[in-house]
Amino acid sequence: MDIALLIEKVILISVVLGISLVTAMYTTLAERKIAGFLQDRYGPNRAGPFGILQPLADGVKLFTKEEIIPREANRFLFVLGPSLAMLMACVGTAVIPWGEELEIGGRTVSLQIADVNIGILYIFGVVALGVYGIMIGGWASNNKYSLLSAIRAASQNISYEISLGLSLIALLMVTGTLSLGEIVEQQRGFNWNIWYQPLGFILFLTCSFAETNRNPFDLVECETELVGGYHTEYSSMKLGFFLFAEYINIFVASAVMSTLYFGGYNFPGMDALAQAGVSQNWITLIGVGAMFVKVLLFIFFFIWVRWTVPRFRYDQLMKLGWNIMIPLAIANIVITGVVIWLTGN
Amino acid sequence: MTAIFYILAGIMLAAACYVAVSRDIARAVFCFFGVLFAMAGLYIFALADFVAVTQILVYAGGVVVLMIFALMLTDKQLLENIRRGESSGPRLFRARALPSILLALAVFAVLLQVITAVDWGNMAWRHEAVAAGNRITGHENMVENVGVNLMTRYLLPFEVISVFLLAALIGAAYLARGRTNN
Amino acid sequence: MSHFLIVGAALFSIGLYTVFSRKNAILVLIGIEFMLNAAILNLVAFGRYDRIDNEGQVFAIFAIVLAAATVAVALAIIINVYKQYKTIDPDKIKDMKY
Repeated sequence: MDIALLIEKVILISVVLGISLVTAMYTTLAERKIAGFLQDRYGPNRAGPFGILQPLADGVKLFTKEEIIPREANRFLFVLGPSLAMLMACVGTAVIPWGEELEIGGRTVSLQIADVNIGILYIFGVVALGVYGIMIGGWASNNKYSLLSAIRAASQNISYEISLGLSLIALLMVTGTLSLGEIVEQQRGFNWNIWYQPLGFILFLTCSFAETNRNPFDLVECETELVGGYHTEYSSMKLGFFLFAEYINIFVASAVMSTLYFGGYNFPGMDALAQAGVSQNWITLIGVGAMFVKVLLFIFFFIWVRWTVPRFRYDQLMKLGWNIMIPLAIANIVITGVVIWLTGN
Repeated sequence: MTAIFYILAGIMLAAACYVAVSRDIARAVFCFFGVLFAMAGLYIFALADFVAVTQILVYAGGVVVLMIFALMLTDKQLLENIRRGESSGPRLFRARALPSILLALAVFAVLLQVITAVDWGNMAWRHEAVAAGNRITGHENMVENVGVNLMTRYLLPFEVISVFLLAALIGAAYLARGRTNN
Repeated sequence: MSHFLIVGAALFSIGLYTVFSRKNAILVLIGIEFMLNAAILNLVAFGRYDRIDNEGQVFAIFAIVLAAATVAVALAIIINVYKQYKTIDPDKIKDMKY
């Protein structure tokens, strides 16, 4: 194996992982700030200017708190739960193309860790495995609220995975490839998939809210019914891992949505810039910037929805998933098929 | 590369053995998860990446969740096991398990005998496949080929399986429904 | 090639042992899944020599899908049995009707 390639990939992996962790860290601050704004109060503003050091303070607090493992819990599974949640949240970043190629010293560096030819299925698999952290944690706690929450998490994720997969199938009919790299290249300039798949995008967005257990679908940790849900018995950094994994999931979900429907690193006028003689490296960097702007907008959208829309009831959630989302997703596939057939390609 | 194959196979077999002998059903199910994951790795070594992803999606994403679900709903002993925690280690040899062990070992011996008796280097079909360029080398995009084959050559089994899945869906829903009439 | 088959054979035997020795219907089901997986591993290993038709890989996918359907139905049955008998030990379920 090529040593230079290995070094390049290791650096890329560390950078991507670092950026996703830092983004997730500051999403916690952004969430509290935006919540404050929406509720007409100040958010956290004591640690550093504008509360900018708040995530660090939170981290230190979580690390130094006493760690309690309930006597009645299964220790092995109890520790495994948050670790799995964190792991599954992080591995999703591997197939997302963050930008085009960079030229560094005559070497072309692709800003995608692994362009596997089954990228979408990989994402889908990671999403399917994401529920394990919650299930194992909730189950190992040996607490009835945690157990209820784990059962809710499992049934909610399975139900919404179906419509998630069906909305992706319609997208795949348009793109004709499973590779995320190729899907982004097809959307060059302003030719984004959202123009072809508006209904599919709305379905995907709703499902990603359900899959990341965010309000209005956060029945899994609904305080009013289940105390703390699956993390009732957790304390210290294990609790921190669960909460943090949720923010990484939001980051990954935002990145996936930007990649699949909003052109990833493509931005309007990139061809004009190339013709105007701007070097490829600058266009790539602007593209990475565009990608991040899109991701941050999606993260903002997640937070905005959380603090404005009330929580569903559990039966309403299930009804929405099975009676509305799945028929809509199937209708979307049929419409897409008919349109492709009529337009001849 | 072969080292990774042996590591994966080792993990897989060790986890499978744990499932077979463990008394803690909760851990057994999670080891089952590990077996399925390592199997997906082995499929990738057999250059069948689409099968590997299907394995992860269907088995690890769906089947194991269902199993944990059923376990949560059925097994009262389970909570006891969780409560006992570390004390319930595996117990390898039980007198009543002896016939099963003998049977399993006998089957394994027969299979091993057959596998080692075959001279894999000189199989005619293997040479034919290599000569005709019909061997997967790992550099081609197999997903497209598999997809085209599913929709053309294997269309009939594909449709039969769809009908079968529908039947299974209806059957499972019928079995699991609440009994309101009695 | 023969490595795949040996691993498959070992997994098959472990599955067989699990099916015959365990006293929990869910673990018996897991044993059956082991045996199915061993068969799928063989299909995939031989499928390497079929680049054009993909017979091995396609039928491996079919087998995975069938196994998933089996599990769904079997678990529904197990839950029903549990409701009826309050146990899922296959040896203790002796009545054919209720």
